[in-house]
Amino acid sequence: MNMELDLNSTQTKLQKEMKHFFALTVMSLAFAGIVIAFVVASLTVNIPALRTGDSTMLLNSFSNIVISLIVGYLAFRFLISTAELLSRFDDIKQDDAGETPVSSESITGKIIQLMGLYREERPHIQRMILVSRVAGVCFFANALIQTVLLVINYTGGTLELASGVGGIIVSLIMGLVGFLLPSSFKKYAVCWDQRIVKGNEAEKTIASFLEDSS
Amino acid sequence: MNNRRTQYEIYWEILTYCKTPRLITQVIQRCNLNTKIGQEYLDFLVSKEYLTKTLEKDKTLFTTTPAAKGYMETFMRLYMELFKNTPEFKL
Repeated sequence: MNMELDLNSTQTKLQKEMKHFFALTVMSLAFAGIVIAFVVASLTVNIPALRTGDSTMLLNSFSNIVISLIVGYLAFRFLISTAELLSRFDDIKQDDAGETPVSSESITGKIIQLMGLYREERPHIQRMILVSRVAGVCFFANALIQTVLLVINYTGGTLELASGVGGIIVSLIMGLVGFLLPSSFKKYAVCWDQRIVKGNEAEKTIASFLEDSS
Repeated sequence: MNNRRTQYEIYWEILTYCKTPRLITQVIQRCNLNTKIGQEYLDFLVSKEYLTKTLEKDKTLFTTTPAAKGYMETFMRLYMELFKNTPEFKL
């Protein structure tokens, strides 16, 4: 009875965790896609604006282009890493589709696959965390630059104010998402690091079991 | 899946898969091993008497023995415990 309860609780935990991780990865993909769309939009607006003779406008466009290119590169790296991770994770997810009731063997098999995936993808996940944070910083920097420029150049027009504030809010939201996503990934990373350590301890027990049984 | 697995995880996978008699090629394919490594693992498990070799129509079949039960159960128990006392994730 206890074993059955343990099995059900582990299965529920595993399924929930996989579902959340999958959702998080899909959200990251969407985030990277939106960021790339912003970068393209920003470049489309700012590159033609480089022809202006106004030095303040020129500085504004130039800083936007530089930030856009950095963020675009990071978003592209982030997109590739996330897509790779999602593809491998999806393989594991599909393996158990439709198996009911779930046996302890299939759960153990799933744990092995997930541990293997984490061992292999750990550097990717760490890179994703870093890249997303840097992208978040870039968005915050962009929001700051836009705020400063708005304050300097504001001439009193409502449309000018609305578009300026809109741009700042979008940058702030993207910056916030850039920080929230990696913090969720970080939770998984910390938890899986602990599991890997415990797994290494379990390995010692298994090794001594094998030695004793000879 | 070409995930990085430990030797103990591979032993467990082989033993679970060989609950019904299997050819070496099936084991290698299922557990994603190369021939040399696969043969080494099978030899080790046979030496531990966790697997038996039987000849059927000129083909060698590997089958998990009752002696492997202890290893498999210990392994499963320890791996299931990795999921105990871990936080539940929320987005």
